[in-house]
Amino acid sequence: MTPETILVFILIYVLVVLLSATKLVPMSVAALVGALLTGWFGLQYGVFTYVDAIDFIDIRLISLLIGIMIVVEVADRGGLFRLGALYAIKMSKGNPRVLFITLCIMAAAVSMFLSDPTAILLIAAAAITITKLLDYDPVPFFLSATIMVNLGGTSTLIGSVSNMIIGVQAGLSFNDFIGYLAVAEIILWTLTILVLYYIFRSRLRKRRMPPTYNPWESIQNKKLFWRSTIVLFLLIFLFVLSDSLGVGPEAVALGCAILALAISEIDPAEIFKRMDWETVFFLTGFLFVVGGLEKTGLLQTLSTQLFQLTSGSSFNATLLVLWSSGLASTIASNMAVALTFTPIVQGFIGLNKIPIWSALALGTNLGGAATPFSGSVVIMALGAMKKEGISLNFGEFTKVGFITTFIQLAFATVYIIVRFGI
Amino acid sequence: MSKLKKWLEAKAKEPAARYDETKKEFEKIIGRPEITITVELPESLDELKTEFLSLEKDEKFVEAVKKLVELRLKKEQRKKRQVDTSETSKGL
Repeated sequence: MTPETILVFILIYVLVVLLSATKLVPMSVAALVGALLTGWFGLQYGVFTYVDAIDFIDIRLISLLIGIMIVVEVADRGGLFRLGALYAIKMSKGNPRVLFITLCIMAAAVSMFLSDPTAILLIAAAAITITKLLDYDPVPFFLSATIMVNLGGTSTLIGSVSNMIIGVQAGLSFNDFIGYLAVAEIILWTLTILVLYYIFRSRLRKRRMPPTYNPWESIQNKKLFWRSTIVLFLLIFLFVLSDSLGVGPEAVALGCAILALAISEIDPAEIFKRMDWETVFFLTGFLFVVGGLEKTGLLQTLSTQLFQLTSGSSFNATLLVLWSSGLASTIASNMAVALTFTPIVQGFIGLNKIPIWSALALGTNLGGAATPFSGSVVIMALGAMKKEGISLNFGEFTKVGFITTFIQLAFATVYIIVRFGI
Repeated sequence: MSKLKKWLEAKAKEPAARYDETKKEFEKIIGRPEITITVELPESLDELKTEFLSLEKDEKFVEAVKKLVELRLKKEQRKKRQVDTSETSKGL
């Protein structure tokens, strides 16, 4: 392979990352254009064959993502997540401090299932409604919800797309994620809420009584609510059992998605219309771009060089992956970071990879809300703030985002060292 | 910094209809509910199509509609109270 050929593939990769990070064009378009260029040059230069190219797209990953999206979309239509948010507000009894904490917990909890942009829209809508009504400063609620939505789901296979990428490509099951990272996530939630509370404490004053209401009034179709909730819990139950059942998570997700569509009595077109196709197409295109880059041998070389840089030490490799993926995710999409790092980590021959995969999962998740540029969740939250006429304080977001991300990554470092004894 | 902020504000796209939909659901339960009514251009006034469409953004018109809603609801409230009072007196 000539250096010029490798350079072409690097340029395509950089172009896609830059275009999707700057949002100059939609992420999906950037990745698909990159895939087209990769396909064209790859076949022209004989870097890969047509059959190789088809294998670039990991059908298990796409199936898992689509399956989860369908189940969760049906559950969302059933009103489960809205009901949770209404209970979180009711529990606070108008106390702004309690409301702040319950909304933070709810934001992280719903994002364990919903995609981050959908979760932030739900929590932002809940936050704006209650803060307007009680005349509270909405900024602490909005910013904290954004950070918590990004954090939620760090320890589950389905909590974020980057986790799905790592899980499918590294062969980690739902139980593996929980086993390696659940404790870290619980502590990270507590730590982040405490930090956010400390930052915003002076803006959470004056208690006002909220209206009395019954959260169950929000459930218009009880049959749909119960059916969709049962399918969601069945999905989690089967994920837990999937190791012993001998089936992959993508089969569980697709099976439950079919069940959800069959018993929900909703027009499937309605469900498909609301799914996050932007993510599906971005992932498909970017898998292709990384697949092409891998075929040039560049990622293998990079992997070998990084391995040498870490002197073959698990400790060095794990910390390098944690911090570099965390910092890279503050700028680039965490899906792109996960897809790029996965083949690199796979090349670390002879090392215990479990701590490194865990570090990659933590890094890609934690870096997603450090700055206003970090990810789609931040862009969505800022869009909602703008729509509500809440002035966007760029500096404030960056300050809060950086402080929380740094503390989270520092904790993750300690956790990985202690948990895996590296 | 201000250039970055401007760029970011331009990129912060207006959230989709989904946000409004969700907000409306919350407002129905805990906030001040809103209603949306579709009104057709009355027949025989086709030549006033532009004027009709501009009513949607006419603040004075919107205020007048709000006033109408308030009057209507107050009337309903009075009626309801009268019924309640007569039922209480019957019970006595």
